[in-house]
Amino acid sequence: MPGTGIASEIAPTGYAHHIQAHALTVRRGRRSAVDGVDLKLGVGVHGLLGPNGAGKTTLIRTLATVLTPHGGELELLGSARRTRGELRELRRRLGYLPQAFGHYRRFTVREFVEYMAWLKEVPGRRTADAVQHAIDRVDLTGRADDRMGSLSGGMLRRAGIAQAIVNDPDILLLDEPTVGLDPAQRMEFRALLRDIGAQSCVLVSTHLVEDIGAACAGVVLMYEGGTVFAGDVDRLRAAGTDADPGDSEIERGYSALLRRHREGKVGAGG
Amino acid sequence: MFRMLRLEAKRSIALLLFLVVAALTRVFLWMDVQQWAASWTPLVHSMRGTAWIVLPVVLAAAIWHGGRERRAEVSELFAATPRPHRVRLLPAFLVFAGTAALAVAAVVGWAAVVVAGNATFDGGEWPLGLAVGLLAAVAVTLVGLGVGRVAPAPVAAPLGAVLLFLALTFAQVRDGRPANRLVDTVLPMLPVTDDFHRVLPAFSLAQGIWFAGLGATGVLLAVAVTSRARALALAPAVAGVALGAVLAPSGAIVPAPAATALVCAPGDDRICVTQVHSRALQDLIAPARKVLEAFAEVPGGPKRVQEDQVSWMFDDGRPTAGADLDTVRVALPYRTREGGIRWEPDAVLSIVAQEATVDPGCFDGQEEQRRAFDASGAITAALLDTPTDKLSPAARQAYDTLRALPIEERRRRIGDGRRAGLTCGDPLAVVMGREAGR
Repeated sequence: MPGTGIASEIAPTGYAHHIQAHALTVRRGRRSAVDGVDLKLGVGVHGLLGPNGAGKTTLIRTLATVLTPHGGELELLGSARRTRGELRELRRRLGYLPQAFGHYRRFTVREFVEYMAWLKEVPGRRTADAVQHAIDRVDLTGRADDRMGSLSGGMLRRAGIAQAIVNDPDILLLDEPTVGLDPAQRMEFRALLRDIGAQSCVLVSTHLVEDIGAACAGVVLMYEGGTVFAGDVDRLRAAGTDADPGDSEIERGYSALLRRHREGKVGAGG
Repeated sequence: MFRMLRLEAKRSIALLLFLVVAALTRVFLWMDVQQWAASWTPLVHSMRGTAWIVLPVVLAAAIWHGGRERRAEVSELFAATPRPHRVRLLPAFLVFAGTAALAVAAVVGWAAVVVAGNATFDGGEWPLGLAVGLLAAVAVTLVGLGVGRVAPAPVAAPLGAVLLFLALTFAQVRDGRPANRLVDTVLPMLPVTDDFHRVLPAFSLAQGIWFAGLGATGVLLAVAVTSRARALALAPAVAGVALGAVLAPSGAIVPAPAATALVCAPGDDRICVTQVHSRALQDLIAPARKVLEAFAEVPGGPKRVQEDQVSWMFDDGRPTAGADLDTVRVALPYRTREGGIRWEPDAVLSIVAQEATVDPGCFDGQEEQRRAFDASGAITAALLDTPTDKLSPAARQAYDTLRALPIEERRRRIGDGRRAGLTCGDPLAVVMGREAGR
C-alpha cells in the first residue's frame, strides 16, 4: 500500500506472539463456551477448525475484544492490561469480520469501508488511499460505488473483508469469511490471506478444511470449548489414517483428532 | 468528521426529514398567515403551533435513525472498533438535530422577512420565543435518537409519533380549564396570544430549561449501555421540567401596553389605532372621518374612532359596565394578500359604521342579534347613503321609515337607535318608532 504505513509498521514489537492465551475461559450464560484454552499465535495464517458449538465464534469474539474473558490470561499484541486507552490502541490494530456481517444497505462499498476506517481511527490523510487499497485487494474495484444493498452474498463477504483490512491490522480475525464465495473467489481469497499473513497474524474460523490446507500454516482445532490440537498443517495431515473418514488428508486428520479426543474423554470418564 | 457528517446527511433520511419538516412548517404557517404576517408575537405563536404536527414527524425520523445500528446488525462489528461510541453517534446527533432545526429555521426565516416588512411594533422578545421553538425541535430529535437506540424495533418510530401527536393534541385542549403552569411549560406550543400580548421572557427561559434537559436526556439515553445508565438518563428531563415549572411565571402571556398604545392621525386626534396596527391608520382615516361627519348632527353621536385596545381573545381590561357612546371602537384584523397587508375601504367603512351603531356583545340570541344588525344597516344606509340593495326586508323597512321622517326627527331617531344598539336595547324597535330610546 503506497504511503499508507500505519500503527503496525511503526509500533515496537516487544512480544513473541501476537495472540497468547493461557487457560482462557469465556462463559456464555451458565456454560463455558471457551474453557481453559491455551494459544500462541504469531505472524502467519492460522485456521480455526471445529464442529458447530465448539466455541470458535466465542473465541474469535473474545480475541476481537467484543467479549470479556471470565478467566485465564489473554495477551494481545504483547499487552494483557485493558485500560480504556490500551483497549482503544489495541483495537486500532485489529481487523474483524464477524460471522454475521452487518452493514448499511444505503452506503456504497467505498462509503462503508471509509466509515469503518473512521471508526478504526485511520488517520484522515491516509483514509482515501487505505480505502481504495482495501477495495482493490478484495477485487471490488468495479463495484466500489455500488450500494451495499445491491451486492451479492459473495461480494458482501468481500466488502466485509475489505473493511476488516482497511486499517492494515496486526491481528486479523475472520469468522467464516469464505461463506458465499465461489471457487474462483475463494482461491483469490486464499492468496489474499497468504499476502496479509506475511506480516500479520490472521486467524480464520471455517468449516471448509480445504481453505485451511491451501492458505494456513497453522491450525487450532476446538471441541466443546477446549483446544484439541494446535500445530502446523502438516501435523494435522499426518494425524489421519486411511481408516478415518474424509476426502483429503486434512479431513482425515481432522476426523482422527476429534475421534481420539472423544475416545480419550470417554476412556477418562470410564 | 466533516466527511462523516456528509455521509450521514447523504445516506440517512436526513434530507427527507428536512424536506418534510420544511414543507409541513411552511404549509401550517401559511394557513395562519393572516394572524402573523405583520406582528412578531403571533409569528412566535404560529411557529410554535406547528410543533403539534412537526415534532411527531421529527420524533419518528429520529427514532428510526437511532435504531439503525441494531436493525442493520452492525453492533458486533462496531464494538470491535476503537472510536468511542459517543463519538460514533456524534455525526448522527449533529446531522439530525441540525436538519430539524435548519428546516424549521429556514421557513421561520422566510416568515420573519414577511413580518419585518409589515410590523410596526417590536417588543424585542420574539427571537427568544422562536429560539425556544428551535430548541424544542432539537430536543425532540435527540430524544428520538436515544429512544431509537433503546428500542430499535421498526414499530417504535410510528408508535412514538402517534403517541406524541396524541399527547400534544389532548394536552392543548383546555375545555375552559385555567392555565396550568406545568402543562404550559412542557408543551412546545404556546398558550393563546395575539398582537396585543407578549410572551414573558421568563416563561421562554423556563421552557428553554425544560427542553435543554429533555435534549440532554436524549443524548444520555443514546450513549447509555446499562439499564442503570438509562434510568439515570431521565434525570435531566425530570430536573428540567421541575426547574422549568418552578421558574415559569403563573401567566405566560401578558398584555403589551407598548403594543396597544394609541397612535392618532396627524392633526386629528379623533382617529387613532394601536401602535402594533399603526399601518392601518391610513386606511382608517377616510372611512372614520366620513362616519364622524355623518354623525356630527346626530344627538349623542360619536366623537372619536379608535381601534379597540382590548383583544377579543382575552377578557383582560374590558370594561364591564357603561358603554362609551362618544367613542367608536373598531377591531382591525389584518388581511393579507400576496404577502402584503391591506384593508378594503368599503370593508373598513362597514366595520366603523357597524361598530358606531351596535355592540354585538349585547345580543346573545340569534333573533336579537339579527334585529340589531338590521337596525344598524338601516341607520348606516340612511346616514351614509350606502347601497341599500343588500338590506334585509326588515332593515329595508326601517330604512324607509327613517327616510320618511323629517330631517331633525330622523337624526333624533338615529341617535336613539344608536344608543339602544350600544346599550343592549332593541334598536330596531326604536328606529321603527315602536319603542322610545333609552
